[in-house]
Amino acid sequence: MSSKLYSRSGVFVWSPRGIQKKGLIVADFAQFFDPTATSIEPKIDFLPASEIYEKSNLAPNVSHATNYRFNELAWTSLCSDAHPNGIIAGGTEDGTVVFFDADKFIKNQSLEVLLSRRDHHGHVLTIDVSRDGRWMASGGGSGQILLWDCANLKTPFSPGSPNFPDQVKLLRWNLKNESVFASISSRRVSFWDLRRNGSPVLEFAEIPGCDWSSLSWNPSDASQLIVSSQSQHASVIQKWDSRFTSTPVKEYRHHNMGITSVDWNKADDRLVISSGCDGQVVIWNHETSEVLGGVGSLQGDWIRNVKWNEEEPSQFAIQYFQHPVQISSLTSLGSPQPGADVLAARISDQFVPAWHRAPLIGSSIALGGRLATFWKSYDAMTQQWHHNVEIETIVPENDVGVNDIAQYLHIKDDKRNLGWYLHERAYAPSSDTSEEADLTRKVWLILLALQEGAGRTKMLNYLGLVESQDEEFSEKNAASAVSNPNIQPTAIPDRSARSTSVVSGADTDIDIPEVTVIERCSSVNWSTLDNSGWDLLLHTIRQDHLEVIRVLISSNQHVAAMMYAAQHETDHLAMILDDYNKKFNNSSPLSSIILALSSSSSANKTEITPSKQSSEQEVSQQIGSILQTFPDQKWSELLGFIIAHESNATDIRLAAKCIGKRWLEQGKPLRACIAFLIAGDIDHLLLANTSFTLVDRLKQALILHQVSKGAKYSDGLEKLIMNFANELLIQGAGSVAWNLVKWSQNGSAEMQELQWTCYNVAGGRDCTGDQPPFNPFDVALPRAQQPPIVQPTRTYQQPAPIPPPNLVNGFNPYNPSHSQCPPPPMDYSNNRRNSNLTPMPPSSTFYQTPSWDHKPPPTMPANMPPSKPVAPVTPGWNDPPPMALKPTTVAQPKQNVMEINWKPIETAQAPGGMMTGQQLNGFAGGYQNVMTNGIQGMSIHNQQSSAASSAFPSPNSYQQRPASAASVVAPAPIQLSPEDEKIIEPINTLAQCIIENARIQARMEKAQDLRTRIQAELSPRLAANRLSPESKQHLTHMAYFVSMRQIREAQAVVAQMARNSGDFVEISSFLPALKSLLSLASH
Amino acid sequence: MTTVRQRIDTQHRDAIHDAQLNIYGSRLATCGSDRLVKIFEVRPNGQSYPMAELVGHSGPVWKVSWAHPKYGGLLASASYDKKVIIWNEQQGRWQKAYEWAAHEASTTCVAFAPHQYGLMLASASADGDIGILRYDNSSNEWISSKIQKCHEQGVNSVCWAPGSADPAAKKRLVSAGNDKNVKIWAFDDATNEWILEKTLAGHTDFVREAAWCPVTNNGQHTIVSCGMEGNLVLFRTSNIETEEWKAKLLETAPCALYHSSFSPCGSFLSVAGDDNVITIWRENLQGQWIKVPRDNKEREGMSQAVGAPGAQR
Repeated sequence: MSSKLYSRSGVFVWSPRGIQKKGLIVADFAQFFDPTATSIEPKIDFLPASEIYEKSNLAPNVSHATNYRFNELAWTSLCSDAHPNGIIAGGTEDGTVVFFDADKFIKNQSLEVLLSRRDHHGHVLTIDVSRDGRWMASGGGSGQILLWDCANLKTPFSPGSPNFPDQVKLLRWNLKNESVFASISSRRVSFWDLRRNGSPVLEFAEIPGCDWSSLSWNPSDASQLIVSSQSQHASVIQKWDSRFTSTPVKEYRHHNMGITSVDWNKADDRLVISSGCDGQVVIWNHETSEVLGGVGSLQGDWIRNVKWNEEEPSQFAIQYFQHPVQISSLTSLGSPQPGADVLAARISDQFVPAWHRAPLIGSSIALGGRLATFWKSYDAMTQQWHHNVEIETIVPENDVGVNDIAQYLHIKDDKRNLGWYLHERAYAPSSDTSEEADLTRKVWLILLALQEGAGRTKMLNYLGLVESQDEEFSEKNAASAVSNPNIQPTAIPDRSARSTSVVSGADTDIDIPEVTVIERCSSVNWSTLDNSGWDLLLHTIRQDHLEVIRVLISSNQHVAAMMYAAQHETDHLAMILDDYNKKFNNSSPLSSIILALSSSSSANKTEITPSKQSSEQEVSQQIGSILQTFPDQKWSELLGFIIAHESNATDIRLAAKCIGKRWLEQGKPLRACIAFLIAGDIDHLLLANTSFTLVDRLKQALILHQVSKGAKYSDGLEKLIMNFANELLIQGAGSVAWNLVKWSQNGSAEMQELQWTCYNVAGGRDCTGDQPPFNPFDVALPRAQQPPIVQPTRTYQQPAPIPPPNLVNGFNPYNPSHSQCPPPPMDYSNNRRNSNLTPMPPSSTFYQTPSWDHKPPPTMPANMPPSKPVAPVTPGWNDPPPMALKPTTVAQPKQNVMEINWKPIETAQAPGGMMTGQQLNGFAGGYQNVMTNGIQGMSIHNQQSSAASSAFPSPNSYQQRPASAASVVAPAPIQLSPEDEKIIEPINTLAQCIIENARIQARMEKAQDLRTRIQAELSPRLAANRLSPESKQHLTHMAYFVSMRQIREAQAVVAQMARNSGDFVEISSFLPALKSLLSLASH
Repeated sequence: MTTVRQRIDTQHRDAIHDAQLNIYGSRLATCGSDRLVKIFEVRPNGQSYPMAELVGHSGPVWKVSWAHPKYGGLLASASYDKKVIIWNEQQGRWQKAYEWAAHEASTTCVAFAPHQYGLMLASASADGDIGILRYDNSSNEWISSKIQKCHEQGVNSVCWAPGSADPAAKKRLVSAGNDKNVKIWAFDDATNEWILEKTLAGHTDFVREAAWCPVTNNGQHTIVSCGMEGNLVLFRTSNIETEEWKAKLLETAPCALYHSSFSPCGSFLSVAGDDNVITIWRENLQGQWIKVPRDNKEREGMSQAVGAPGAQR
């Protein structure tokens, strides 16, 4: 694109590749003839490559006087410590070959001549250096060629004897083979090989009329070379192949007159440049013969030589016989030289030089380990190049738990499989019997208990504080059953009043405000307890009141024993007094009178002040006081004590949280895990469970989140999910990452971005089958300018909108009826449990999801009134209700459930006496309170599901409704009469006892199945009154025996019913299940 | 190891010079000597579908770059015709959004900036300059500027430093050129100019590509460059403001190295060279970079052509 003229004429040589000092060396030309300048002293110059760019007028910055005038110069790249920039060699007109050091010359120190010998018979016409810089070859008159060892400049060698005496006009070394060079005379081309000493290996191109003037090798093909003829009559350029020397491969005619020089570009083997006597410098493609461009040249002179710059492949230099040296470039030469525009080199835009080409191989990596590669390959069959693009996935060898988390995500909504999984984790075989392994097992066990919705007894059992033996449980239940018929609803407040009165009587009739267990325990000096003291504590945890009293009596603490009995079991008061009298020989008639009259005493009712709510700071201080004296190795007793005796679930969680924090500070993280699990504190759990693997930590947090039914992930859990999802993306598991993050609702901005990213990496809607999440990026496309195209902004799909507020209002009409007459909560929870046990077909699941989103709000009020119970039955406060399974639902119903969940507390608190009764009864009261909240929540959700189904009648929905009705579980639906309920309830209680005490998974599952079948078959028949009076009587008798835990008698009644009942068709549907259940109970 | 490889029939009629996945791996853009830019949709199971064929360049297309998904479907291409073209997707159709006659010589590279910098683009050229293109949201226009004389004899690649949520963080980019240098440029908000912050030495021949790791690990920045002499050099600094970079030679290949780039998470480094081998590197926990075992299928195609296999890398 530009050219510049040097300050003078002369012969030149470019610096070779690998030389630090880059530029051009120009010296006086031997054949230069200027009559007016005969007296000028010859010089040799150096022009740095940087100045070719920076300066407009090119002048040497190094110049030395010399006696030599050269026909050609050569610059070897063979560097050494002695010659860091190589050696310059030149052939002179008087037959001398001169070598001098390039480094000293360029640094303007001196022109150090290393060697100067006159071995040629005539003038030296040409000189060239081999590719590796080792050998210098010079040629001249009489066909003489000499070889010089640049590593050892002493005596030259001879490659062999020429066959002809013609002068050697030019010689060039092969560009791939260091031992091969070619030379030309006017008549022929000679091929020399140093490995075969002697005459030339080949001699060809003897074409009459041609006068060879120049020679150049193909830089890519070692067997191809180009020669040019300077004959005016045969101005041709021919390409020859040394493997086929009878005829040229190709012939070119780009000049009208003789060609003086030809050179092949080293960086792009398609490019050839040639100069001719017609004054033209032409650039052409030897493959296609196409002329690509040319250079303007000075007129009035002949061009002797053109040569590409190896270092900068777009540059070349032109030597005239008389005119100054011209430097041209296919690209810019920096600062332009005034007046040199007409000399600019031009080349076709369609031709792309190789040094401008991008690489033909490469790759790019995306999220999810997706790798795209592009590369070329050669097809030997078709003799063609192919350009390939491939996609693959990189999977590093270190696994962070992809399969583990995928398994959890698969089973997380299946309570049975999830429970089994946790059970396996807890009871995994391990040879490690250390305390840490035991604590680790307890962590998984507590998580299992939370997932099951287990009560206090099972929780204490997992802590290792309560032994769950069938005999003990049966005995306890027998005792409870004995007292059941005698319990009247009105007896509860009376008993509480009596207990309070006794306590008040023991004191001075002063009303004491109720305080939490933790607050009172902070004043106990725990370090002074002996073995009997710890036994006492364990018995209180186990609710073994008789044993507690025995311990107190044996320690002569009769007053404390009386107080305990007054609070829990007043039946033992007489025993305590009798023991006291015996031990202390009390024969006072006053005591005898009281003992005789104890059965007829009555108590005055005393009003109780409701307890105040403790703040976290206060509880933390109280916990601190307790821990100061509580022995450290008794940590599980402390947790068990709180679980057993704290009446309020909120207080249990608050106390567990404070204890967990203390243990975390003390460096006991595994204990703190157990405490935080009980507290339901996910963020602190993640601080404590750092000894587990990342995937285990995540699973524990997710299960705890699932159990607590939180609508939104906590900050700690969200960070952990994002961290793990990013690891999954690196692992190439994009779909698993999406399955992990898609459950987040209203997450942080980062979580929303990650959701969008994982959704796209997993393949979008087509591959995941999910609706697109919210797109966090506000897409603002830049408008097109050329041409100006205005397009509407692209709209992304928005996620399903949050249900409108009036959906929440839809629940309001229920509140009055709810407050007036709350329905039995167990009814709906059991319905929900059963529907959870019957998996829906996938198509049905897919259909139901939109129906929930699109359910019209007005439908809800219409469905609420019919759900009111006809004859509501208040559950017995003293009866432990059956375990209600909490199914996992989508976040939106959870949110509604959460709102309704807290209303029953206010309702339950309305009768203050009942609440007091709960608290005074300790375990039982708190237990019911916890379950009441959950059950209420379930019932609300169940009604929503029914409304949703009825709003969209469809074949699937219709098919499920009968099944759902048939699958109603006990306690019976609202249609069940109290008489029928008495039959169902003992069966449920028995099944629940078996389930809770099962140590084998199979036994537990069998009991669950049997209970489900009995409820599915027996309850609707009772409700529809389809059983004969005789069968009903048999069932009533059986229920009585079951409640009395007289299994053998119950089995006898069942056998009798099977033999004698007339409606066997009806009975046979549930009879086998009933028999199996009784058989399980008898073991 | 890697999974089964899926071939994509691009139907480019000449050499392919770049193939870039978007950050999700769901779209692939290819360009080649046939002057075309093609876009394919790629599924996780390996299936691919042609989406668009973009005509607009009058010379071979050297490089393509995807913008952040925040800007929708946006793609830039660099070509021998000295131009940078920005394409955008409107309702599934691709069209030319902007054409920039950026340079005086072949445009060798183009790279979108991290989205924290806004919608910005850098281009490299054989004329030795780096071009900066910025979209102004207020005027809805692309505004161009230049960093002149970055590398003598031409710039081969540009790559942006990782984005930062800190608005006061400096914008930086790294360039590789034919002057054998790797240079770091920083934008001075006071003078509104790009200044040369650091020149990194480590190569003895043309540097073909320098890549800046998109993720900073505890403030640690990483740059990898590859050159025609076969050197793969890792530069690292713990404090970007102190300008102290340490160089480490990862490998010297027996041939020229053309390509080095990081994955979006900064976990993988891919390197490609003239021996038709693509290697994947990753950093282990001890901070050493090791090669991920991978079946070099590309080498088979080259062995048949050259006859004798060269030194195995």
